[in-house]
Amino acid sequence: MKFNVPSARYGYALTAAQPTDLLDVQIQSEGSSANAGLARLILDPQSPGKPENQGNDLSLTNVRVSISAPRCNLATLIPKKEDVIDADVISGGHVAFWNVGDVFKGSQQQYSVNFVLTGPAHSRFEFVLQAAELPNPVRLQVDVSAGFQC
Amino acid sequence: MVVVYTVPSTKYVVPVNPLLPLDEIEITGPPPQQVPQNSQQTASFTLNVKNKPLANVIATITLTRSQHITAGAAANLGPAAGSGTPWTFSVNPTNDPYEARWVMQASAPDLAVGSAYPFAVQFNTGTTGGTFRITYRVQATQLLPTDPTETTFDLVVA
Repeated sequence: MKFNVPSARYGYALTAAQPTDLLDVQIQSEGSSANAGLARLILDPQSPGKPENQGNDLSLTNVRVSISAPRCNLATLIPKKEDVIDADVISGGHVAFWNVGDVFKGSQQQYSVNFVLTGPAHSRFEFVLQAAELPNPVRLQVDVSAGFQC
Repeated sequence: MVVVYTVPSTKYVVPVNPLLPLDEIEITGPPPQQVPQNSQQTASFTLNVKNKPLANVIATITLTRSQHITAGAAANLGPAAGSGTPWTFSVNPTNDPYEARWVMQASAPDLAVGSAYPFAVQFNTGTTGGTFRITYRVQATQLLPTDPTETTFDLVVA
């Protein structure tokens, strides 16, 4: 599922020519189990950055991405903790996060985590993007069922 | 199919009148069924003003960069915008726009309780299949700027 951040969500005014950032969230099954899958958020940053940063390629700063997967076991973060500022699975193993600092225009980022659905047949995943340029986090919710495809 | 989103009472700057129903964003397009690639569709919603008059309204429909708002005045299905109307209309970004915005002109009267305002824009579904989340947004003096009044609808392109 693809989503463009509305221009009014940014903490600064965009000009008519300036695009916004695209998020693509994907949930796909993996392996032979109907309950095992991969949740992925792809961030394609195109926003121009804060006025003081415009003129360079910086798009978003202090970026944090998280994937919340209730009643799931999460494992295998990509990128790994060593490759970003920080990353981990927290909140009883149901939330994966990445602190990644600054991202540049056109530098597509991917964050993914393997999961196994352990609870009820339905679970509402939440993909969150936070950045200094976005006063409110961008939250995308996707319902997942056993044997899912998103 | 119509999807109605009620603006939560927590979104208002001043506590709402509990005797009145709350304002609504009534999504009327695109259709919930899968649509073909490279086809013309309409994204639309009606703002049902039910609780209090709304001032300085800005209505926005945001598609994704995989879709493109159809060029030309005929693509702007409504409300009518420009001189002599309460609205100005613009699209973003300039090249291959995917966001439509209507801004109430400063001289326009508040939107009255009991009235309904349709907003609609025509777009091309593009050449990529998948699910695309469309955002419908309303800003007004009476609604908290820090907690956006938005709702979404998923467009499925074959």
